[in-house]
Amino acid sequence: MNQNVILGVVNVVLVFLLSPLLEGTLRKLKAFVHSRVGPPVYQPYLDLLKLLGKEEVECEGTVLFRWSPVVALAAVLSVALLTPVGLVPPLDAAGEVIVFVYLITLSGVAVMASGIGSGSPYGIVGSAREMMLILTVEPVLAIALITVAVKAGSMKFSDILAYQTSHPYSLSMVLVTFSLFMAVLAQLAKLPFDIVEAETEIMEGPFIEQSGPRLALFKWSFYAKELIFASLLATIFFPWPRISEPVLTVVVHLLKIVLLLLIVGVIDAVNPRLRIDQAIRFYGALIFVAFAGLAFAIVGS
Amino acid sequence: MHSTGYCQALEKAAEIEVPPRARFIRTIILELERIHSHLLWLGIAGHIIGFDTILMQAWRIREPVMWLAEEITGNRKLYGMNIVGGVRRDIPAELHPKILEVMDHVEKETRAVLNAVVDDSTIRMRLEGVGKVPNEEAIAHSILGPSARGSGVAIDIRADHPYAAYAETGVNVIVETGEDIWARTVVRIKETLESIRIVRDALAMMPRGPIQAVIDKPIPPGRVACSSVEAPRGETHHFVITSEEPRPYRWKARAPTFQNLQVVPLAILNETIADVPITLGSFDPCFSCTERVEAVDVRNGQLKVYSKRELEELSRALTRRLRGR
Repeated sequence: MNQNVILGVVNVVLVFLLSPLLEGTLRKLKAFVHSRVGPPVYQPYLDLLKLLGKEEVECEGTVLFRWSPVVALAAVLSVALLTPVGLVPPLDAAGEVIVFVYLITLSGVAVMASGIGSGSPYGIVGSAREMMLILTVEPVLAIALITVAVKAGSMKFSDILAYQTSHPYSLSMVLVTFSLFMAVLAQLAKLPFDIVEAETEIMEGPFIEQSGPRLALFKWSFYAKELIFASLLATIFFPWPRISEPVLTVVVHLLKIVLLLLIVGVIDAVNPRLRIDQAIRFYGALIFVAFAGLAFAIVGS
Repeated sequence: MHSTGYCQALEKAAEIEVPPRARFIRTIILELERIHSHLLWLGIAGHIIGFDTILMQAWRIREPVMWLAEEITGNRKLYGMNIVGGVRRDIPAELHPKILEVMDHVEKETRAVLNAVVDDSTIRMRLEGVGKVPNEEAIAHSILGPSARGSGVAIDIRADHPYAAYAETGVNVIVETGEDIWARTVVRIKETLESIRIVRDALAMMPRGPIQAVIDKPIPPGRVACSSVEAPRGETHHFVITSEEPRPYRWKARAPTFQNLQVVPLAILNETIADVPITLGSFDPCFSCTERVEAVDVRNGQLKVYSKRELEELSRALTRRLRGR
């Protein structure tokens, strides 16, 4: 138990410190697709430092506006306690899957609260979009995770992981992995689902009034989310290659994370932004794909 | 483009015959301007719908055209090429291979972009059936240029009232009947390709001879003339009355944006917020060309239109206040 707590803390610190580097890599990739040189990979660290050093600018914001960045980052870092980044899930307790879904939703709710709290019309439009997205994307995420839980017969990530590394890949897994991957695109606010911020439409929506350290916290929560989701996909949904050597596993895991994020990055670079109604129609259809996966898992294929 | 319009109006007023070579050079410069303007627009349209790859690639393709313009005229933009009675610089024979090479390059890459855009279902989801301007509305509002041609109105000053060397090169007017943003996009990309064709043909047909007319007598005062030029955004008109002094008595330019903006409320009717920026952008607006500022008092709905003098006064008052601080 004690060892688990240490592992958990290490996990959170790693996610906290490494995630800007991944974001920097993604920016380089995007620059490559754009035929640009792009900023150095450590640019996100500089951005965050710069923002953290600025004075806080108050708007007519409410408590919601002031505290939402803290809630967003706290929620995402708590998720880092649960997600297996590397070998084993750090905090191993019953019902982790449900807590995961709750905490990820909380970070989305924090974004929504920031927009509503800012009182800006752009922020409110952004929040409305975030709400619509949460309502359609969260079910896909939840169903995908419940499907693996059903297959493993447990809500614990360690059991799921053990099941995944010892059982062959099945049809239900293909379906839910696809749905989860698409849901992750919206979770990470990547194109074509960069609808909540939509710089050229509603000028970053919920973040329009956020600046300085508070904006830094929001940005950091997004970077951490990238790492966490890539890690979740890499460990649970793409369990190959199955290696028993611990050091090699970590290396392979990191490579898988980078590879997955590169795919996300390429999709982000070659797509325009969809309208919210188009996105909702897409995720509405995706829920049925996820449900099909769940049904297959229940009948055992 | 505006300088061509102004010079043509004055030449018409003073009955100055422009040498053929100068007319061809004007055509080449006008078409280079259209190529880079349309590529610029394509990039911005991509950016508005969040597709920054289009923005970066379109502007990368555009850059050699700017370099070429700099080599020919000395400037990347605002070429300063026209004078009354001809052009300021010749296009020497040594530059011809360079121009053709850049045209080949731009054509190849523009075709690649066209294919990529046509095959992209997500782009078409955003642009097709959005920002509709029906044909009869386009005619009723007299919208111009690619915006009109995307609604199936085949108007193009270059073909309808040829100037410079367009009578010799000919112009295929690109018309699409989609009436939506997608149609306006396709019109602009295809026009870029047509412009490349015109530059090539103009270069091949360009006769030898002087590039400036000899003007041996003063321009007679009180003459009135009007000239029209097809700018990348649509037709532009210049109206000139000559005077005894070495400057016009009256000069009025009409750019196409103000005309095109009249149809925007119709095009965004019943659309979502997400579609408004790209719908407005699809008319390639130049807001500085509209020379009109309107303020609406939301409390009582009163409308105030600011004149140029009032705007200047406001700016001066602001400067005074800032200095006083």
